Amino acid sequence: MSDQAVSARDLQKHYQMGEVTVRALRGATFDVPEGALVVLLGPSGSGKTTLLNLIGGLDTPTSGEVIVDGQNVGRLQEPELTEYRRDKVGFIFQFFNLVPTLTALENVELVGELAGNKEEAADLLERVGLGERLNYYPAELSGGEQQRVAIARALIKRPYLLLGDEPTGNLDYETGLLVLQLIRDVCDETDLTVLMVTHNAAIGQMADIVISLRSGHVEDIKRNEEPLAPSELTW
Amino acid sequence: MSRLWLKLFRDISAYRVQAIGIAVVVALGISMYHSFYLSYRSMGASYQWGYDELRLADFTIEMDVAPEATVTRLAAIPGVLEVAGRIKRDIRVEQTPGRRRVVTGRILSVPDEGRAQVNQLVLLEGRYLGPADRREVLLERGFAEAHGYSPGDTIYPVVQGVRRAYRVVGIVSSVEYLYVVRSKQNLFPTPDSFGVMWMRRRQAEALFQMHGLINEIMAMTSPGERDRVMAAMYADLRRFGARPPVPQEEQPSRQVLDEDLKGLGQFAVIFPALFIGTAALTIYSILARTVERERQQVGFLRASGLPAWRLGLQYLVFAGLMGIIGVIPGVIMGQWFALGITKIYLDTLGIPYLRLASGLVVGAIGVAVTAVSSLVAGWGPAVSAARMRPADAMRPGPSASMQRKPPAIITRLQRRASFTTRVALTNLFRQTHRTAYTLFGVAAGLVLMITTMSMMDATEHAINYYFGSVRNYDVDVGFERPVSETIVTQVQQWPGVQWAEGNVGLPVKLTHGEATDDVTITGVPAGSRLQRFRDEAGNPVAIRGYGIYPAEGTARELGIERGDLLKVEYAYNSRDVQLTRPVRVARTVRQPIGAGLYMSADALRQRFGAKLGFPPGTIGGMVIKARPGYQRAVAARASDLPGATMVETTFDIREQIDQAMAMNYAFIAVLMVFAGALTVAIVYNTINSNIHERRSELASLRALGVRMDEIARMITVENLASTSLGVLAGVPLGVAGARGIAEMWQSEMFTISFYISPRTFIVSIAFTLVLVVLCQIPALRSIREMNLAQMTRVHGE
Repeated sequence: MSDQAVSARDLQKHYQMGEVTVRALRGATFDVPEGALVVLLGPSGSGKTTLLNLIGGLDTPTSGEVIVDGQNVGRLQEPELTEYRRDKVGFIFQFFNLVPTLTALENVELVGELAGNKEEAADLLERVGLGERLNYYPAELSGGEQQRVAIARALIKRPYLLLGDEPTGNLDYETGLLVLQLIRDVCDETDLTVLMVTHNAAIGQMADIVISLRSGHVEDIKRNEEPLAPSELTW
Repeated sequence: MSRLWLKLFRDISAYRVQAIGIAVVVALGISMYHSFYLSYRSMGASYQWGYDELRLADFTIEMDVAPEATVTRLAAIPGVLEVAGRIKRDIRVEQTPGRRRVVTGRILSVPDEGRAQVNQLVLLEGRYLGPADRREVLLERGFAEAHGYSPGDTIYPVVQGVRRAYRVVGIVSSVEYLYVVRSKQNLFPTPDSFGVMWMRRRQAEALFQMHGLINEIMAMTSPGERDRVMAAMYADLRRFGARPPVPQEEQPSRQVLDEDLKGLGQFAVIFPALFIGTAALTIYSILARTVERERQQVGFLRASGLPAWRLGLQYLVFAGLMGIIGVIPGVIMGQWFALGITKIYLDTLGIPYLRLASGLVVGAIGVAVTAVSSLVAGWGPAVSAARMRPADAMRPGPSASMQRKPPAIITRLQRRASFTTRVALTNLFRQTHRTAYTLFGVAAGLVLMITTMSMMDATEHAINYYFGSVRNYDVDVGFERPVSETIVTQVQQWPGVQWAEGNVGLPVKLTHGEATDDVTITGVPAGSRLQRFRDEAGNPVAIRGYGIYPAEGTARELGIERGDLLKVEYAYNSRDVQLTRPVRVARTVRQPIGAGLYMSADALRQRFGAKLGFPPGTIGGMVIKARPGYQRAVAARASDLPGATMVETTFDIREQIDQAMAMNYAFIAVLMVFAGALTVAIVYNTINSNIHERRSELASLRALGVRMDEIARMITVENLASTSLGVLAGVPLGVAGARGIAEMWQSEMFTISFYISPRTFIVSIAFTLVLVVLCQIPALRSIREMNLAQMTRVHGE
């Protein structure tokens, strides 16, 4: 097994929008070591979400390679991609994407069932600070609480990668910091590799590695020798 | 329970309004199918039970006369199980004052001892016939009811001018007269002027001077032996002037009931299919909207590693469950309705035995059909959910349709409109799925309503046409034998008579290729004022020349058209009288009710009359138009015409038709109730979903300070605009559906042409528009009462 959790090599993704070809990603190359917390930073339209989708097996590259845990994800066909997502990737989204008709506990158990690990759901919710709200429906939870349910839901799979797409994008500053702290703690405690997309440069300061994207290119890769604690971030 | 299944049940619970709507639609469709189809099977089972248990003859053969001993000889033919001979005669019967004075009676003899073993009778009232020396009769139920007979009354058969009194001892139902008609040529029941009665053989022998003689045999045969035995008996009886044998399936009562049952069978399948199909389309539209609304959940579940097939299965089961929820109440209601419908039907026909067919098979078919149609309806949305790429599914933002602009004309119209109206009209083109679902829902409702209401329109229109043109007379007189035409001039002088015309009738068997039909050719005098004909296009048709003019039903039955050459055989061809002529079809004429075949009276007399005893200058019958208020008096006087055996009045016929049509009207009314209820359910579902899927948007508008009345106006304008498009699509589709039903709704007895009254269009469109507005009310109320803070917090709803 390679030391690199994720390796991208000249990764490209083009979309056809009517008669126009959109080059969302124009050749990204980088490595992410295991256990690192990585921030993919860039303005809107820079290709960061496209990159996250390719790593997460939600989309397939037009060319290039994306290797996760030694597996070339870009070459997987749909059934293997489904298996890959089920076994190796946990997602956190900006809009939480909780199932509104299931309680917090049931939302986590739903994904736990897919991974064959339903029993830990209550413990995980306890760990993200929602032990008192297991039986609340999403509509009865605040935005921060919903995102914490989403984190617990991602973790119950015991994923190899935790991918977050603007996980604080829909939260206020205080709540955003709490969620970031939770992600940092999970990364440190479980040695989980985390890749997080954001347009907020301040969040980059808590990452081990910051990969900056602009117009589909990797503009810069920076290692933080001493990442800030989330509580120290300001924006 | 698996969390995925839990999600499914919670989703159904969350969409319970729509789920209940679909359940109602399915329940209506299934109850309709179940009740109609089970009634169809039950009636078939009841008829068959009667034919088997009451031993309806496998065939009958009429003859001039034969010795009674012939029966013993015929019984020896191998394959014969039982053979019985009887006397059968149609005669003038007089009644006591207070009843119509003269009717035609059919006397049938039964054995002197015991009961008839073939064509058995069911005693409904009174007692069976006593010893053979008593002057007693049993009356057929329909006739007894029409004239108010009960045991103890007296009736007076008249033979050769001699009137005899017979005591009515019982009222019966006969398996060979479940549907009482005179003959295969005359398939319309007229209990006012025609009745069947049974007496002991010795009484019939004395009445008709037929000691030791019979003129009809009825036979039962071993399975598979009928045709051989029938041929052998016919060969044997030809020397006694035997007419062609009548096998059971051509027996007039059975033939009419079989035709009727066949029609019910078609309706039992076609209408429920229309309803269940509509329910399936509703399931499709609800599920497609659900999948669209849950795009982000679909994306997340796929991103979490849920296989595509499992996700598709989730929505398929959703569709299946929504369908199945309605099946159970549908089957229960259907079972209950079926019992009611069958009872009403059998009571109307006076059939005293009911055999309810098993509802299990019918129910199982209904469940299977619903499950399959729900799954087919759910297939498209389920596959589209399964095929969604997770990244695309989770990407928020407007779809391509949101960038569409309304046509220039709408844009111009919008300029002066208020903001809410502008938004509503723009949404019509941007939210194309919503417009499409409303259009479909409204169109489906209109198709159902127009199709069912048109059946009522077409029936009324046909009956009015029949009595206004083809049967534009009040009294129809039939003579025992041809009489001189001069009698017409005499009748024209009677007070109260507006006009009278003589005619001739000839019972024949028509053959065209392989098809044969038993009908009576009516000879119509030149320039008839009382029988006017039109072709299918509505153009007047004069009956002239040597050609024949079949009614539409008859032409359809025989598959004949203008110019075809037919073989016309006298119906009572026998050893002594043999008459067969080729005749060409001149034109087909429109006649909604009954079979009919017309020819110029002069031509009929010239071609057939001389040999059959009605030469030129004679008539076999007469039709009379009375002045208003004189109909009954003229009919009563016509009964006294010498040799008059049949006097039928149009008002009695109309009453009979109205009674016969009562079942049809009830059936159509039930269909209309179903169609109306289904339309309510479809429109409610559509409109409710239209508003429900906009809860977030409407919550935002309300949060921004848009007033509730402005929101209501915006929704109403949008819904009414898309409803108008639905009306534009639904009306032509409804007309096409009505035309299709009219095509199907044809039998030899009825030819109901396509017709839709303006009333139907007005009622169905107005009903739909009002319904749309009313259906908005509960959803708008929920928008008014919703928790804005909560609605704006949960994303993606």
